[in-house]
Amino acid sequence: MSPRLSLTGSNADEWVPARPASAMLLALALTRVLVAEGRAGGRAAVLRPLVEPFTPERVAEATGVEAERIQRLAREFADAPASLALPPGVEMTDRNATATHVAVNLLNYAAGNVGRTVRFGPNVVRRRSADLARWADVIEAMRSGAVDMLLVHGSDPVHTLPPSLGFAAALEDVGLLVSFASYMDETAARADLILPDHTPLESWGDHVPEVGVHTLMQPTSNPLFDGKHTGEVSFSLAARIGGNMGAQFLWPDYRSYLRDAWRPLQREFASRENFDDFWHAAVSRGGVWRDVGTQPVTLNRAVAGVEFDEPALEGDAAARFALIAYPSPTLYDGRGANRSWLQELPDPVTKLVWSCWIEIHPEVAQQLDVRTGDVLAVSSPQGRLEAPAYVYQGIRADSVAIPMGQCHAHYGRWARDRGVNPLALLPAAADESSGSFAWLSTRVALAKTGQRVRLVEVQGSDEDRGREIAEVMGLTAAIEAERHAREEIERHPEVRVEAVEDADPKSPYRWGMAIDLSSCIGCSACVAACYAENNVPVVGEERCAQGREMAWLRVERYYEHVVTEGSQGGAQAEHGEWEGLHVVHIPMMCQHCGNAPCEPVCPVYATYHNPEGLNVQVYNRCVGTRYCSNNCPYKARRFEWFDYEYPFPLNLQLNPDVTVREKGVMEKCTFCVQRIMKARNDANAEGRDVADGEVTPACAQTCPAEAIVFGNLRDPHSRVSRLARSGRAYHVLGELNTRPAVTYLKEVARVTEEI
Amino acid sequence: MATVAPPVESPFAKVNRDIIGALWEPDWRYRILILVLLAVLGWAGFAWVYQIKTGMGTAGITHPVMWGVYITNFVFWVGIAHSGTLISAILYLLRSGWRTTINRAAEAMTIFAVMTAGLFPLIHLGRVWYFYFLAPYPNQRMLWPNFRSPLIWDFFAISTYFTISLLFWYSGLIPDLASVRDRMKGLRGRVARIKETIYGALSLGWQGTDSQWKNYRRAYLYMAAIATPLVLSVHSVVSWDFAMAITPGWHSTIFAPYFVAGAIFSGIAMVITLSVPFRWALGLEDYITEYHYDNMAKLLLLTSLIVGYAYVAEYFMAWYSGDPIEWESFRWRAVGAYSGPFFIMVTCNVLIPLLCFSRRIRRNIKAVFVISIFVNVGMWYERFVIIVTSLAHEYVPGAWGLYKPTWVELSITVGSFAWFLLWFMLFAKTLPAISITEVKESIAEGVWSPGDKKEEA
Repeated sequence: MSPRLSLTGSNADEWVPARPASAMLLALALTRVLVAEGRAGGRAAVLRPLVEPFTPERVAEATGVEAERIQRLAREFADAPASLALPPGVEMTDRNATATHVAVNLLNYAAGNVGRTVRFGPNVVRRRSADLARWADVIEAMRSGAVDMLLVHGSDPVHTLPPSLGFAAALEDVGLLVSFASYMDETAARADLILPDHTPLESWGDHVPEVGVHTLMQPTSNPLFDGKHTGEVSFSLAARIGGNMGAQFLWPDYRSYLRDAWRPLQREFASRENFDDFWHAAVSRGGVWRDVGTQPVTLNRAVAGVEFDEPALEGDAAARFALIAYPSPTLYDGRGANRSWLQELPDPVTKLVWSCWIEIHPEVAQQLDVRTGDVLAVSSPQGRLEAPAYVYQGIRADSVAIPMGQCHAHYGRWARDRGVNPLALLPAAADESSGSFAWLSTRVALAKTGQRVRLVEVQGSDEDRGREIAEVMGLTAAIEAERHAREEIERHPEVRVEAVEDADPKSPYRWGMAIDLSSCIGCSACVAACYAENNVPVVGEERCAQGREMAWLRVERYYEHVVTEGSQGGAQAEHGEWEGLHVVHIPMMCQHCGNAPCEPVCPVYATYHNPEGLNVQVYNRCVGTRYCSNNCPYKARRFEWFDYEYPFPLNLQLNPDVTVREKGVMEKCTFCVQRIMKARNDANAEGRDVADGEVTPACAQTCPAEAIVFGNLRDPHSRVSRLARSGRAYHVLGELNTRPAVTYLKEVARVTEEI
Repeated sequence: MATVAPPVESPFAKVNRDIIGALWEPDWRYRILILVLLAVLGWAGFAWVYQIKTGMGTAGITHPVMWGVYITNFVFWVGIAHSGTLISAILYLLRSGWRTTINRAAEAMTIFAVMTAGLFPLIHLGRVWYFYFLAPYPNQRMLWPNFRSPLIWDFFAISTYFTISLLFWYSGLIPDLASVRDRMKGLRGRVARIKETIYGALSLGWQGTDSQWKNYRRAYLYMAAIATPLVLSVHSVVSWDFAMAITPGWHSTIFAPYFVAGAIFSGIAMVITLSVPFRWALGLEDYITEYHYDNMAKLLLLTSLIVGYAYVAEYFMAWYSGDPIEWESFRWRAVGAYSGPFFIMVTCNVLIPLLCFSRRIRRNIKAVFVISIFVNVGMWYERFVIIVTSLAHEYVPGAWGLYKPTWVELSITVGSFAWFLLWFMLFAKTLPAISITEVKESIAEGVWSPGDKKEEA
């Protein structure tokens, strides 16, 4: 439930386009329905007085969600075998953020989730970050001249704090600004002294993500530049001060310090071991950890004192649009902006690269008479900026959204001079209870400027037009099909899928892949991993605009207009304007077809079928007729249009196991053949076959959802073989008889048919 | 064919004088034109070198449209190469007397068009420096080209066609070369001696004896018979570059006849386009007349109707197949981003040639010339539309994309016309541009004679 269909929302069965800043009211109304209909059990008594005023009918107006829909969702929520309500993300944090969290907790409590899907315990490390008030104090102190020296480490406040706070201006009154940034970020550019820290790849370090988990980080490379670990800077400072201070910091380097700092952990985790053994084990395993139990909790009576005020957004009558400033999934708050891999990684939702945009609803676009790429002026009481419009059907007509992360005046050649920073429009508003920054707090006005810029979108069409590229099936059908397939596998465990025919009968292998679209969330981490593993060149904005991005693997995102399945609560789903919008993400790469259309057309056998069923590209033999690409129905092939450069230090990221291709040759996904070869050589040396799970391509390795499974289809017991026999299995464009080695598993969604 | 004795009061001397007379020293206009063509060619050569050095990215081709203007040009020029053999061989076998004045130029056009077409697969290669990988040459690694690939069929089809066309053209030239040699004997000067030697060597000792004529006619007939199937095979094979692919918009059994008809269509158009300025420049108006244009326009009309039928049939099959992907490809071809080229194609190839139904227009050389230019443009766009729209709009909608040619591609395209015209200009001044032998035969047989405005053969 949110005004913008985010990447998370795009994975939802149902998107409820609720008004901005209405999550609290929705949670309360849902709780109210549970209480009123007796679905909250014995918990109702304590909840009733809290939620009594929030009838679905009353909040329908404020949230933009019909009362019947709220009731249906509440019933489904209560009836589900397992349910969990999560509060909205960072970009939806409004002035009622704490109250919203309380309301969501109440909903979970009402549905009996506490102790089941919601567990409290010491497992959350409270890493208290400074709230807005604290920042205001610091800035005030800076302005009054009380700060003689300011040390900035691990953050870029000039870029990541809203300008309305006045941090950048207050820097004028600071005596000495010292930055420890590894890159020339916006704050470092203002610094009097820069003492560049080692990058994480060059540093020792540790981290405690949750109680009981202690992780260790060791450098993967020698320092490339003349930097120094900030810890070591402290040691040498202390030594210069001398005396008592110097005596406290006697470590020669940060690694020695870290080692000593871990001595207490040894007593906690392995008191009988020798410390050296403990340390080496911890370094090689990446840390030490143990399970920490959860704690039972009860409803705090103080909840009665929480005020559930209806939220309000700033802005005058002309400002009609709630501004959603969201962290970019690729660049985050801007720290990723200097990585060319991330700049060229398509935004998972819009599929735009190297750019920044403002998302507007098609109706708004019509009213303003703009198309995608027309520059809009966006103004709030705090500021004004200009950004190109991106017409997006996944945003409400009363909201606009701008990603954060771009708009750097410094921060290196890839980041410099791109896009805008929506923070410039935000007031220094805070959630009253917690004091933390309220991201969703203002309305903006839009105006057409008449200018046009090019927005580089790497995807062709947003709709799969009934071609069954990314398939979806209903839950009931999926359960039935999976049950049938499971029985079939149990009855005939030795049966292998058809694709095994497409390899040398003497070979023990036919490599294959299975991709579960229900697991795939579209995050595109696999794409970045593929770039890293396979020396895929970054080509830049200009060449992306010409369609010459080199990604061997791309995640296609299709919008489908679907009829949703009747709800389990019995009430029929309405077919509201956007209710039927369903988004499917599908990773697309070379399918290593058994009957590959690319192979017969190559005049020089540069692409051929190897004995293990791989479709192999021989770069040295390729003359570049590009016929193979024309004949590839999946359009998985990429051509080296130029000799691409890897300016220092990017050359250091090249994978030595993979050829860097020259201009004029065709290339494509190899299933990470270098990893297959390594595993096969290891296995041959030991006189055995490669075991299941021994080869993992970069994409599968990186997938956070384990949507990609790779393995040997010749082995009927391998994971990939079993998935290939799943009831949800299908081949993209299988009707062409290409016999792909990649099996997709249909996404399970609440749809009955496509419109 | 019986040898006919020359009539006493024959215009044979005029034929010799007019046709060989075209070979004398060129004037300044000719030289300027040659210089212009060389300049254009030089610019195109620079563009190609730049492309080789920088990468194929200097051309506009991109993902997913990996073939563009270069392959369009290739198919276009192979198409142009068709009329030569058609007019020479097939019309010869069919005893169409009207071919005699245009067959030589048409054959020359064939040779030069194949020479132009043959450049484009090379220009198009990503790594042209390894072009020899495409040839079946013995090598230590025992690597052969892939004989399943239509591109290899192309390689053989085109080189066969080129060889046969060249031999056929040359055999037709032998008696005429002897005439030129004999004419050179009457001249004084060093240059005339050198020319006499060269023409003498090329005429292979032709004396015009009865037995020579007997064997020559027989050989020429056989050559015509061998060349005839090539007219059908070459463009069929070229069309298979597309038809053998599974790309929607390409994968169609209609392609071979469709392309052959299109090739003859464009070939005839190019013969008309070239012969009009050519007869004027060389003063051969008496030899190539309304009568010939009338006949060529009829052929143009016939092939235009076949091509038009193929367009309709393609759409019908796409619709009738019920395949949404196929249908979408064709629908988009007409109304999508490339609807402009599509309508140029339909207008120039189907609508404008309908004017040839009118006898008045057919016999108006200027009108036929203008129509032929439209057909040339239309046929170029036909290949562009087939290649580009099909690739731009394939199976996976997420991978759709557009293509726009760059200055490199346009320079090389213009350069290809310069290259072709340069050869044609050199031909016009070095070899008898009209078959002396056959014109004389036609006169003797009473089929047709110079200056004759006769309407029907």
